[in-house]
Amino acid sequence: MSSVIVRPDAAPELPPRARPLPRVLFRPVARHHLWGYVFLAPMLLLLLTFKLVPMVQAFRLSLTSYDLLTPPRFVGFDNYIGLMSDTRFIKSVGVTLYYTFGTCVPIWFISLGLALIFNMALPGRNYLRLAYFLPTIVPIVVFGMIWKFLFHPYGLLNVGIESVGLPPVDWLTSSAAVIPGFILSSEWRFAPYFMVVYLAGLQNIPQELKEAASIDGANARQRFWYIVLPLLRPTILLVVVVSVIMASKAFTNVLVISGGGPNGASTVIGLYIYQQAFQFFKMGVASAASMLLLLGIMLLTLFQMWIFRDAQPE
Amino acid sequence: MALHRGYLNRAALASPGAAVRFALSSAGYLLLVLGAGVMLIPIFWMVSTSLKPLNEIFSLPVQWWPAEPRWENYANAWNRFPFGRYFTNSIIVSLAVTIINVLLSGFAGFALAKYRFFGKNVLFIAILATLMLPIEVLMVPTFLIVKELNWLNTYQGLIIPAAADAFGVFLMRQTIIHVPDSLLEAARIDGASEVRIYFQIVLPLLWPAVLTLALFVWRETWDAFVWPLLITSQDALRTVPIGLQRFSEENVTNHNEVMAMSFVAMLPLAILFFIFQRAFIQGIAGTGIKE
Amino acid sequence: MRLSRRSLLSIAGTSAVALAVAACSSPPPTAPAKPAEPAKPAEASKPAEAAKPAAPAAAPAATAAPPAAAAAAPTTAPASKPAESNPAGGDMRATWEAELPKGPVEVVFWHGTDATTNKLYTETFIADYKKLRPNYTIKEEVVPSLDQKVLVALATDTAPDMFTLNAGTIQTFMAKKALSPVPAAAWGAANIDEMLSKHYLPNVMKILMTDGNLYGIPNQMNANSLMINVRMFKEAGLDPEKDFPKTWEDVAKLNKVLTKREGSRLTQKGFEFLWARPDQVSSGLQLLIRQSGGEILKDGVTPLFNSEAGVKGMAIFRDVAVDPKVTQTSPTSPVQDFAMEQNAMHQMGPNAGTFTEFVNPKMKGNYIWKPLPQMDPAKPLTIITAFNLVVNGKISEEKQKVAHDFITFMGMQPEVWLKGTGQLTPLQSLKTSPTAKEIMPFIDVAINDLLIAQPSTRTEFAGQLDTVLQAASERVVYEKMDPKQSLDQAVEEFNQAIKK
Repeated sequence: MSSVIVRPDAAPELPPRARPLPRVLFRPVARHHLWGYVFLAPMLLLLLTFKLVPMVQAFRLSLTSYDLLTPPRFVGFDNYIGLMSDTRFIKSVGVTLYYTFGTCVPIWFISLGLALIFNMALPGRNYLRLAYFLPTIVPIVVFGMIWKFLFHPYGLLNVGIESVGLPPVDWLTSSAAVIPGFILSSEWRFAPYFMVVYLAGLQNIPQELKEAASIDGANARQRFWYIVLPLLRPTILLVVVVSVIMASKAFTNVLVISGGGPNGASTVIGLYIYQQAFQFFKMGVASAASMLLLLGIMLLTLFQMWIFRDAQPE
Repeated sequence: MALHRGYLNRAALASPGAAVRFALSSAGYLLLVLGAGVMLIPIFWMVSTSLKPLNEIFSLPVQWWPAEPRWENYANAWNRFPFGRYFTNSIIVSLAVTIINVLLSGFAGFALAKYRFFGKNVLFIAILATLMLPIEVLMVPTFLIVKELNWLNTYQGLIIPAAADAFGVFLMRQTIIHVPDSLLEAARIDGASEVRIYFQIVLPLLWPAVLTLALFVWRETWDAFVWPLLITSQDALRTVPIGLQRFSEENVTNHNEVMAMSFVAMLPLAILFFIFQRAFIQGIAGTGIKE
Repeated sequence: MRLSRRSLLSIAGTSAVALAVAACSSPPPTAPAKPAEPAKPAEASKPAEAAKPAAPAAAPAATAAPPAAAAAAPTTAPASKPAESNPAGGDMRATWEAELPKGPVEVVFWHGTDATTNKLYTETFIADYKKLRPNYTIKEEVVPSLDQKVLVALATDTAPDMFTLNAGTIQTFMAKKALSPVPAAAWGAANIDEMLSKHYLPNVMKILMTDGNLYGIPNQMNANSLMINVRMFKEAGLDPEKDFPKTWEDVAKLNKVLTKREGSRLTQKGFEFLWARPDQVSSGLQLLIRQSGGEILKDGVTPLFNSEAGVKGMAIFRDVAVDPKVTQTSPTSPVQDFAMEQNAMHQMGPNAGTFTEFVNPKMKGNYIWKPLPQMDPAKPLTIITAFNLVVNGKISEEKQKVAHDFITFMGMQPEVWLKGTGQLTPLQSLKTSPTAKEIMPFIDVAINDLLIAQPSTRTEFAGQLDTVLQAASERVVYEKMDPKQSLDQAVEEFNQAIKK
């Protein structure tokens, strides 16, 4: 009755059954699913205590005016209404969308490409992969310093650009160039990160399937399109969702490199929230803005999951 | 080695244009190497800056290698702040968080991927939602909870809240989806308990994902600044990022020393990655499943 | 790599149980901020009045007090003589000392990452204070991102007993009654006005006061003077002693002479304001507006900076700007361009010299100090910035007293500050002190600039003001917007930002 399992290492040895299962136990379909709760419980407990409960608190704070120095004062939905008419907030939403999709969409493809390449056996692959991976592990403190230097009018980026005959770019002082600059720095830092995620996902695709397909005459493109890609869908969903979440929340890089300028052109929502909370002493407003951010990301995520709905488990 | 041969075999397998493709892929390979070089340029600048005296670090046009490399910057940086302590703490905290998070994420991902129970999808969305709020507004409420638990200035205060991260749950869920249900069913019919199924059937298939997650959690924890800063008030418990931040004083930043220590801080992760890479190859060999 | 199933299970089980126990032991999370004891600040502000009824009773003790006061005076610091201040204040001081807690008290002190001040605290001040008051322990911590951490700590009742704050942030803290007022008795005075007139330069401490109470003691107060690179001036055929700029128009003119390019690349500038942080840009602009005779805010709320004087100030701000984006300065390294001899002039407080030489040892002896340029030399004006030692208003009265005592101990030793860190503390004694002149030959320039200084803009919305003014300046300088238009937009933005 067991399916044929072909694996290089031995399958776990299960003891032969001594006697048939009693009839009353033969509802494994319903019964064993309760174990779902058991397995989920520990992490759920952690997340509940240290994430979900604080999130509820943050929501409650968003209904108050709170300067961290005196107790919060209930103001109902005033913060939210204020945000809707705050031009700086609305501008930051636009900037965030620009930055998020400008960073994420290329990453989805670049990381996949790199992962596919590095999944093949190449000479010196481990060293090359390490070289691509290093940008991800540069400490954030130094990441800011490095890119500030790169963005300098006479810095390396402009030197490179001028060497191919193009005019230098005002990276941090032109509203048009500042977000593309950040996108570039984020690609540098996170394309390798998601490359590794894709690589992990690619390991789930059995080599034998691909080899069987090529024996049947499929070429590389067909193998990719009809075998690899469909099996990769769960990982693609992961990359899409997580990259959007990470990019939407980003602010440390902006804080360190441009401070949100010029004239608010790089003030993403994350930075707006930080400013409200710690520079303007308006934690209530910051919380309200965070709730709106949460709502936006949640809608995007649900949308993404709907698109990938056939990559879901039953 | 075997894989290298496999690569060549594959090229031989599909015959027409194999030579062309091989040539193209050599050009592609060259591009890949150049790309790696480009990725490394900022890091190389970082290392060369770490060896310069303060009045040379930002010189433009860029000075690629200092005239007199100051190797003592590394020793000075290390001694300026208690980095021995900071590194020890970072290792302890990162190790603990990684183990806890990977273990619990595996369980949770398994539950979400292979079980059907009431409220599963709602719980999954709730879990994902925990990724979506920025830390600034969560700081005060979370801090209060940790304070209530009397975990301020303790290792558990550094470790347990940091282990609460949903990325791993998501990663594990998406990976465990691939495990064929029939495998689990068969084991159940054979009388194996659910826990045994997880550890003996599912987990061995997950090593690439487990290693990837371990790497990512380690990286996240290693680089974390805000939470350790809030929780600790004494050097005895502080971690490396806080130490790095101390180089940035109000009036002058020892850029060269920051770069030096940052480079040292990168090494453990780089080594980990290098080691884990080999496991990816073994992963390939081990996950073939045919039905 | 295969752990035995049993061991894995036991680890998993234990951690699950441990977590469950830990979670169960936590009561439902409390509301974000507990109402702190509001009574305390009121009590703490009574020392002045309490001193008076005590004075008659202390009269018999007063005769014994001067020797006691002299004996208690810190003997280790080179030039500090608290007793040198008005002898009539001696009995105030004695009362103060008599009322200090007798038992052991520990005071937690958080400060920033600056290495020179850190060294001064640990090696000099705290060590000496321990000898003076063996019962008290000062527990100091270096805290990166101090402002952020202090705010979270205050919101969660885990705040330090004393910490440092800059003058802008102090406005907000004062408005929210978060700080403990400085007791005049500790300085040997009956009230704050007396204390200030006895010890401090006139007018400079106004920014740290509200409702007649003083809330911070500066460990650094700057009215910014002008540093001049001698070599660069001489190269351009200028005499640093005579040709230094007296007005901002002079600065703009000098920029034309001192700015050099190689092709399209800027290699040298005359002068540039600091653009690395919002408060730096904002204070540069505010200086020019105030020097033009304008005001920034009315009552801390109503924007006035788009007045004629404001527009004039902004126009000069733009004219003086060479190319702010060509810079290596960062928020934590403001002297970089001057130290690296890219800029020939720089405006900053007296300790800038120390850091310039630290970054580039070749600068030693290569710069001089001159008074800050003015818009109108007939009406000179500078603006004060300060970093201050403050005491948490919500701690026990005992700790407040000890904290204030320690701060007073440090505050009365300006020469130690000067020698150890190059920081100017605005005490009168520095004007005439020969030691100070030895440590810092140009100290007259700095003190004069302090004497003509005006308080920086009083508002609890300093953060919003800085952000708005920075954006306005960026629009004018980078996007070539008309100054009036940009300032009008800034007014709207400010009103919106403070509305909630």
